[in-house]
Amino acid sequence: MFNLFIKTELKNIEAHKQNYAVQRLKANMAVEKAQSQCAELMGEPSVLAAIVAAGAFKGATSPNVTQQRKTALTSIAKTGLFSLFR
Amino acid sequence: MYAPDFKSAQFSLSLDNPFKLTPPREQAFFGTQQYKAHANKVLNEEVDVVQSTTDKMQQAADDVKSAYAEKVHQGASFFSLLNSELMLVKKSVFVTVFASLATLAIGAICWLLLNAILGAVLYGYDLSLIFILSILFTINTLVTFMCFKLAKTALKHTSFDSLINTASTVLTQDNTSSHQNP
Repeated sequence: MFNLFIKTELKNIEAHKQNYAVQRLKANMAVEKAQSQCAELMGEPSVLAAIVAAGAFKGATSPNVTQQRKTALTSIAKTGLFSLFR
Repeated sequence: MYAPDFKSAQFSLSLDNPFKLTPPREQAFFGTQQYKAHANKVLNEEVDVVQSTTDKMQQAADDVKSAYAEKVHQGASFFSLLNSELMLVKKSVFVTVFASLATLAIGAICWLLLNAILGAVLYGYDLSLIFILSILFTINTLVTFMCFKLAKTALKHTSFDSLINTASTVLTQDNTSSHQNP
């Protein structure tokens, strides 16, 4: 009764809060979808082949291969290990 | 051509608004067995189609774009929420000011009426008019004087002097202590 003059404002705030919650949900869903799509893209044979080709080119042209190979193998092992427990 | 049976149609709840009467087509499934079979067939065909890598890349790019647009919309809706809160604050300030003014005016009238009632009651006891008026004058003068004293006492503190003094004291203490410490 006493919020006679600010009733419309309060209603507006409620509506905007609802709108924001819905929009946040939608945005999170869209981001999740985009992430999964990009992750799926990473598993494409042609993309994998491109990555392998880039690595081969790098290995063929760089002077110190052994250290870089060790780093790459370690990172691959780490990624595989952690993807098991995710 | 398959005509959906709308009488036995069922709908799953719309995610963003459960009270929406027309959910999007992908959330609606129609009642007839025939239509269901048809829809399943279409769905399986869609799944079975092997997408090329460029298609997938295109889709991923579209998804990223749409995610960006949704995030922008989220920011916009957040700002509109903030704006409506500010509108509420603005209007409440106005309402507060005018309600306070109305309270002041009506309170003054109430005080006058209280004096009048007091005077009428005293007049009912057959006191002389001058005596009644002097009593009322004394009471009003006393109240006025008390309010004036309150205001005068408070006025002494309406300056930034004490704030500045406190701040300078604290700062000098800090400076001296920091000089003393090393």
